[in-house]
Amino acid sequence: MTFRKISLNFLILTMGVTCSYARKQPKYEQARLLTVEQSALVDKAVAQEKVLIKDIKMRTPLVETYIQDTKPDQKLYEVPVDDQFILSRVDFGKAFFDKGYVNRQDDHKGFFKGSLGAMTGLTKMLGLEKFTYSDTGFMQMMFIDPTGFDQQHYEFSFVRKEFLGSIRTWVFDVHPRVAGMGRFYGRIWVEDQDNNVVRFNGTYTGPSTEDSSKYYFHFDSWRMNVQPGIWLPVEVYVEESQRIEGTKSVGLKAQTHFWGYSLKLPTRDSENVSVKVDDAVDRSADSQDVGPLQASRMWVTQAENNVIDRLVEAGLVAPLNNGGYENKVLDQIVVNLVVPNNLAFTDQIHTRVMLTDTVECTTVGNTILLSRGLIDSLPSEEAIASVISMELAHIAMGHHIDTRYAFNDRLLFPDESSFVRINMYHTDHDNEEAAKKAMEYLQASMYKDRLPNAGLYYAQLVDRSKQLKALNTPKLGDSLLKTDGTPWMGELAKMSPKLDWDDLTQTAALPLGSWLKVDPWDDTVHMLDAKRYAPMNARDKMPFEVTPIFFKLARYEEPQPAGAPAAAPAAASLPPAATQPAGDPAAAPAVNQPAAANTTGQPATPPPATPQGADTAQQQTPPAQNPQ
Amino acid sequence: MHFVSSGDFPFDKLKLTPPESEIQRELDVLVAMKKTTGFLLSLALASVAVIAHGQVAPSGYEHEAKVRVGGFGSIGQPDYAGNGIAQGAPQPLFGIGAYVDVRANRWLTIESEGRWNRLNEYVAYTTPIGEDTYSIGPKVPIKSFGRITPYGKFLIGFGTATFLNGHATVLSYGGGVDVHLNRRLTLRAGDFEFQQWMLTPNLYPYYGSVGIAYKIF
Repeated sequence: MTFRKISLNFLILTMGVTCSYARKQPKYEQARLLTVEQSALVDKAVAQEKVLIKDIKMRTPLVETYIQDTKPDQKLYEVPVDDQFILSRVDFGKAFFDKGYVNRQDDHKGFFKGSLGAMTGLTKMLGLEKFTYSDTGFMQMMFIDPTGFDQQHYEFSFVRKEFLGSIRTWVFDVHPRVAGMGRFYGRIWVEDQDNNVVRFNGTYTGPSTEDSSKYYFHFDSWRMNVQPGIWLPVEVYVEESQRIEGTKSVGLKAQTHFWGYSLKLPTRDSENVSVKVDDAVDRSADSQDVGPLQASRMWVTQAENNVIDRLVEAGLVAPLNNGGYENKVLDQIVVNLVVPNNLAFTDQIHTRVMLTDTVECTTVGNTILLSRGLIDSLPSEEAIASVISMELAHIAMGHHIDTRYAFNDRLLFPDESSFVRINMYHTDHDNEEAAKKAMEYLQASMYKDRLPNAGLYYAQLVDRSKQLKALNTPKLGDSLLKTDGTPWMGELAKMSPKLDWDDLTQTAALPLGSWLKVDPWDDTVHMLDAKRYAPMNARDKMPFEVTPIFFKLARYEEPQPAGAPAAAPAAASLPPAATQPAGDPAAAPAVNQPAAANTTGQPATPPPATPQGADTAQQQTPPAQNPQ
Repeated sequence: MHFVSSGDFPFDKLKLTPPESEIQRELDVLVAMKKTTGFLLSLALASVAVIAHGQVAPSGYEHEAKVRVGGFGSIGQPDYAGNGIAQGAPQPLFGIGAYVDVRANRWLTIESEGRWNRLNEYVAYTTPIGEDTYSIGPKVPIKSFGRITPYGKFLIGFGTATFLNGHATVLSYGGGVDVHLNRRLTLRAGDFEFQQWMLTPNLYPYYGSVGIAYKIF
């Protein structure tokens, strides 16, 4: 019995030592005492943070995280070696968790594919992978501390006042007063009007032991004034030169985007009614009935409209923004290809932007869908034209989507299932045919002399395809690459000069985020209003790479109604869309702009969407010769 | 498997352990084990209270296999009174041991352990009581609280003893707390092992130990 007491006392002693050891406070720089004014401002910021969290809980934004693992490189400083793409819809209702979008590859049937998928799933579930990223961890970088951000748990030190864009901010260094994992330490910027935290930069406290398997990364989190008085998270940049400090592990760079805060049902109904009625009047004023061919076409159109509407509703496709980037740039390039090739489409060809960072494109009826990642990385107008030409070929050759979507019940599914429930990709045979036809279109177009330049993009894509598999894995549409890694537009790649990193005039592909920005509130896309810089060395090229973000913040301004006197001077200063180079920053729409701009380094040669014998505003449809 | 007979054993003092006493003894051992386990669990729960929970989820998890080698000192009850009688010894048995932990992933570590309890031996009649065990099995971390990781384990192996001819199968049920001191060193702050020696009658020794381990890779 005595011996048992000794044992227990011994255990109590060791465990007691353990607990006291664990309660040791983390060591930070001595905080400077706040003045009364500063302390009051911090209290207001804390209160506003609670308001923001409460507000954000009512919304279900989309969260896209694209991660590139990097390793040092003698010539290029660092190069991507692997990548990962995560798209989720956040459900803040119960807790701060996210629901991942199911990849269509995960849903493939077949003995081996199923087994492999199951094994991969099991491997992930058991944690047998060497290193895994947590989508929830990246998503939660939108918060400083969702449950305990106050002066009881954190120490604040005033640093200085600083302007972020046109917003005057108070800058504070912050570190936790209490021990524990996942508490923020770093710097916060508090705007001086409503005392919202508009930016925070730092990391979260780790698990106090380097031996632990859990890791937090350094990040820079930005918010935007998307509505009067509402600042919401928009983007987070994450960077580590070594994923695990003190080891020879790879580094990482990542961007997390938030959008879809105010997803609304598309307003296609009213829009369609007028368009279709107008079209019907234009084309067949005398006919009151619908023939079999017309009925078939209308059936296909109904399926296509349903799909587009569903994708807009799911936050995967930007809503139609008349006079926006799609109309001013992409539609103009469509015209430049349609007119010289005398393509007679029954309906006007539209272009829309898929909001994912993956490099992919597809067609839904007469609508061409290009992904944000694809547009961002395309360096020139001829490169954009090469992509669009292949999609035009799909339309011209009748490669339409399955008409099963004309039945609305087939589109009643959770948003997270969009990738597996909507098949918008083409078969290899269709892609092969379309690529051949696209080359004919390009050869007959104004771009024929610049095709080697366009080919550079495909050469660069192939060069990076092994490292950036996730980027080249389409979610909804078609990859630009075949399964063997060669591009569908292989002819173009063959025409291109050899890739030369030292040739600074050669811009094969741009970094991600080079052209577009998304309004996180209504999902509309806009062109960056940023200065373009030519690369000064090979390291500045960064093709397909994730780059840091920096916003010039501004307060929300109500969009001016069309034709309002206030908008007139700005509109008057813009040249007509048809003659305006697409890449000119001044061409960015002045109305309904998000209040920030990304200013990553850019080449000095943005793609000008030069019109060719057509009016941009009213796309001309060549007469007759309708493909049946 | 049989116990070693002692030549000078005083047969007149022989007292066969009745079955009821055997049952009562096992119950006593189980109650003692329960109390100790309950104590460890409540302590672990108390640790949860004093250490703040994580506020934001981690962004990455590493799952590389890690190998630690360590040593420990132990104190325990051999549960052998001598000459075939399973009964608490009047004094604790001290010992040393070595262990290797191979961390397969965040859920599972394989522990192999050698334990030599030969110090402060109690001489039962003419036979000093010493127990050695060699076992291997899963060690499962329950949850990490900062540097502290409580765990449970189940080991299976064999044991040899000074009072045995040959060896016996040994099952060990246990748990404890690891404290990660730094990247390389881990303190085994407390480890309790309740053993079941498959003999007739069964022996139920139990040992507490404290040790330290070094991560070799």
